[in-house]
Amino acid sequence: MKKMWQLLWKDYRLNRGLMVLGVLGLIGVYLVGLATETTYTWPALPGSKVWADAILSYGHMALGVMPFIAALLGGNAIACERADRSAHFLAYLPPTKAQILSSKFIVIACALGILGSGNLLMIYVIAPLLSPDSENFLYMLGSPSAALAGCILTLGIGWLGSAYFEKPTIPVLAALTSPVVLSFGLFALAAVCGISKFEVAEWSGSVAFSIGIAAFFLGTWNYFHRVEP
Amino acid sequence: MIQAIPNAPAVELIGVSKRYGLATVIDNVSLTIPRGTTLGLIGPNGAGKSTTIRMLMGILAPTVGRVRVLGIDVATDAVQIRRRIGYVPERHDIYPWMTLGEVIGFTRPFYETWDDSFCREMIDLFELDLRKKVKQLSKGMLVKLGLLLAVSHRPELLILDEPTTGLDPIVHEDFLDGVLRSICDGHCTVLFSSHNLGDIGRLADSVCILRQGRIMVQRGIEDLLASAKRVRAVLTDGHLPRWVPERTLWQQVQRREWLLTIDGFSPDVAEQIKAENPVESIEVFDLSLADLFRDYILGERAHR
Repeated sequence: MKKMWQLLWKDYRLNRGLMVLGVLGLIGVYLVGLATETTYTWPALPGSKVWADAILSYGHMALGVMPFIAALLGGNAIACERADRSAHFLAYLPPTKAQILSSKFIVIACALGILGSGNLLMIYVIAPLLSPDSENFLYMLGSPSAALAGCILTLGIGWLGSAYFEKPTIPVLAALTSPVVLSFGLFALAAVCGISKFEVAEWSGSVAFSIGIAAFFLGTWNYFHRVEP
Repeated sequence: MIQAIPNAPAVELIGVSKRYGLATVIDNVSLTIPRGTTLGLIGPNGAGKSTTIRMLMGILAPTVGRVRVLGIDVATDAVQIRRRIGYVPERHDIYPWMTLGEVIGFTRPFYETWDDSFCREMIDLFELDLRKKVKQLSKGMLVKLGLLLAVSHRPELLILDEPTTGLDPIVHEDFLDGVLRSICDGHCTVLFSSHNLGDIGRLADSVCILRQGRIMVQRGIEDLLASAKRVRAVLTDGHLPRWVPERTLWQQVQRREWLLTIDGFSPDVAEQIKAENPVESIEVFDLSLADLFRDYILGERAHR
């Protein structure tokens, strides 16, 4: 158990910078939103209904940031230790590949879980507490299920790239662009097959989810079957 | 659970080859290191020493052949092997952001046999400051840390891959002192790859010379030095050697001076050289390990 804790501690330290960046990104969305709302009523401060609407709306926008945080964490997961060759140091030590990979996954899952929960807390608890009839005026942006599908897609693609590449740059870029590529791909497919865009949008979440899961398992498989660190 | 073969040698390479595309880095190498002995692995750059060691560590798979460490096949259970061996690489890739104390704390739980008092002894011997970060360490300190991490769990096999390259004489001495302590305190087998033949001569019982992925010789150092001699013969004016002893490793003729390095030298060989060649005089010298290594390599090169 002690060795698992050491691996978790190491992976937390390796990802700490990205986690802080993620927190700042999420807080940034809220701060920008709240600052925007404040400018409308300045010098008076907005009422609780406006605060509630802002938190609800920008909370949904912040959900849209979550896949990008997942992309950073996924793309960085394995390749960051190859980039500075510390993967070689770890390879000479006796932890199993399953322990090494589990630790990485647990740290990323916990980080995303905490950030996501914080966001959902703002949307579903704080905003209704401030005003029970709060509204999302940025209604077109984000939903928890879309954010979850996006997170799984970017995390899976990042993880897969990270398992193959020696540096995290390409995996992170691939993961960051994967939602855009998937959207274009699906809409192009819809245009070719004559399917309605709304229909495509309906099952795009399932496609993203499936691709993300498949990419995650493919990356894991590659890591287990690779002899070199 | 893979069962180890009891009383098996510490290291066994059986017909091992490693190829990258068309390039053969290791070519049909078979090598055995008995337990409790120290083997010096020497060879020119690119001979395949590090590749051999990486295969022993299980982080490089052989193309052909089998690698067994402490009686366990590396391909089946490298993790179990790593619990029982210590490794000091040429290049240290320890997490640069960790402090020395954190590195030791991180490494310790992975080994059931970690010896805290020996670790403390090594920290004192190497005068390591546990509050320093790895990235702040000099090359010498990094090598010392690498050795400390490799020996503190009292490994059954210690593998050193050119660890003393670029060390100043003081750190070099400290390092060898650390290695000697770990050898003397237990029943550790040591595989020591180095370009420093002085170190090999000081630590190793036997030596293995590797060139272009092939083993040229694997023998006890004392046996090798006792058996191989340098012969200096003065040829009569205007003549060249007519007969060369069978086990000549290297030879060179410059004007009247004929130099030979002969393995398996005996007074009879000297008599035969005199009898078969136009020589005026013969002198026989002992060789150092460095001379012998040089003659093996140059002789092989001349034969190709």
